[in-house]
Amino acid sequence: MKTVEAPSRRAISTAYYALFHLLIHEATIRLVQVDDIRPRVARTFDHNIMRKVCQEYATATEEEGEQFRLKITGILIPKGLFNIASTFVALQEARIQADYNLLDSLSNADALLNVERAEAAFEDWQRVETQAVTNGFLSELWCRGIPKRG
Amino acid sequence: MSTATTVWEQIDEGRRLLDRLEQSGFGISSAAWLHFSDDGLWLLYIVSTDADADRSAAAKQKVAREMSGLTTFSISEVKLLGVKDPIGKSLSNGFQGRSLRSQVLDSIKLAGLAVDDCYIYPPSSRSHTFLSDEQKQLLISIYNEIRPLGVDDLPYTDEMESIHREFTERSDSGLALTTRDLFKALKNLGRQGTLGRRTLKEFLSNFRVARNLFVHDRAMAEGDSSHKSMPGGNYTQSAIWLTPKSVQGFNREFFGDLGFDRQMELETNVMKFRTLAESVHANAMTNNELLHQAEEVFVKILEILEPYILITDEERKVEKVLGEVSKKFFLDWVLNWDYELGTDSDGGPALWVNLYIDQSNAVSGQLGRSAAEWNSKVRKALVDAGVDRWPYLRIRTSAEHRAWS
Repeated sequence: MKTVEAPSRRAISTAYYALFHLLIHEATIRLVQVDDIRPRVARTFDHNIMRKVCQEYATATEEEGEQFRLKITGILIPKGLFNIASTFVALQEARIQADYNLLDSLSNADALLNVERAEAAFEDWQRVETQAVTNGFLSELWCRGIPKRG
Repeated sequence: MSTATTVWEQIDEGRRLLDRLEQSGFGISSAAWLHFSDDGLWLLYIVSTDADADRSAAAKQKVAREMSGLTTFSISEVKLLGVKDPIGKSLSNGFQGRSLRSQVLDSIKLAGLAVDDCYIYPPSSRSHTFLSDEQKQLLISIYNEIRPLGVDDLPYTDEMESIHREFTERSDSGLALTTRDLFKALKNLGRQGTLGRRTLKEFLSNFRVARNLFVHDRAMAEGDSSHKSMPGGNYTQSAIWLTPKSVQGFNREFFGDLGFDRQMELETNVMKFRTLAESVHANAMTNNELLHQAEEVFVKILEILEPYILITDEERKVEKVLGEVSKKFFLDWVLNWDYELGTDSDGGPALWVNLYIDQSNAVSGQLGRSAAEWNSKVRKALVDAGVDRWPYLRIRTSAEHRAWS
């Protein structure tokens, strides 16, 4: 790995964690009433589960009026939520490649792209945070990892 | 930790610290980097018999002394644990191969740490020096069987992975040696004769990228006269395939089965291409005449190497999909594109799309939004074409591509 790549790799990692923590923060605020318990619950969010949920949202099909329909449940979600889910998957993969795959060179432009992806996701968040479907999305990020009773 | 370091740099320096500690007689039971999901920090955990409660302060001082010259992390990022500590026990289980990495992570989480990733050091970073004569012979014989054309500077090549797999299966050493350990052992055993040699695989990989860029450049130029470079035009707006990297690693000997005449024709054209590309590379400028010459030479090389550049049906399908998306949706500042099929970190089928952009025209602030839009268009087009792959976009500027040549 070229030494000059180190800041770019770090930037991508940070971009991913910024979005990761935004979603966890928002989810725990809504799902857990007691402040003191939130950090404990926050630790139970799983990267892989969150990725799977986001992949599901990012494969929603486009409808009219900047809406997307989830394939399994048929629920309509706004474009902003679709973008956030899609960005989460892209950033997580970019972070894993940046941190562990040193065989492939990494460009500064790619680092910038991923930082801007995270910024765009934060902007999208402001547009969707008050929508009812957003609560469903956030709860899925956590609940999907909990085994169902038999 | 400096903000400009990566996990691998830390792992390398951590290994250096462990070596120093072991040499000074510090008893290390296990060691690992743990990644904390709360703040994204990596901390080095060292489990040691010298770090039991009554000796922990002295142990910490000793570690601090041995850290002289290490720059990627500080003593505050090193945690010492005694061997009876529950986290220490979990790490030792992973270290001795009694638990899988995921089990180690689960047990650390149960012990109360918000950890989502870890790197556990193998039993000794100098294990290769402890190979018995019999094990050394086995390693050499596996090396000779696999006959790697070139084990590159980095240990993680396909050949080294095969050597590692074979050695692990056939050796009953009980040593948990990593690929890197065996790489070092081979170097110590004088099997570095072919290290760094160019391989056919490497050359074809470079040429394949060039071929893709060449074909896509032509496709994007159809009906768009502004796409091609004008006389005296800037290098960055011209053909990105016209770079020395396109033929980097070429060796005539790779192509003995073409027959002498064809082999010589290939070499002559590769040399011509390299000269043209270097002249563009040096002056950062091109013109239509030079571009035309380079195109002719490149087409000849492409024709000769056609049997070596295998394009699967799925790749053709992907190429068609991306070609259509690029014409419809990519903005002016996307000069060209390339792709690779592979698997992502989740093990799922993936499509890596590399976009080459013109940095002088790309508008900062547009990248993130545009990528989200393109990602969605590419994914939809893939689904419509029956290709089950998750697309990941990566970008580089034409200048970066040139710099890597």
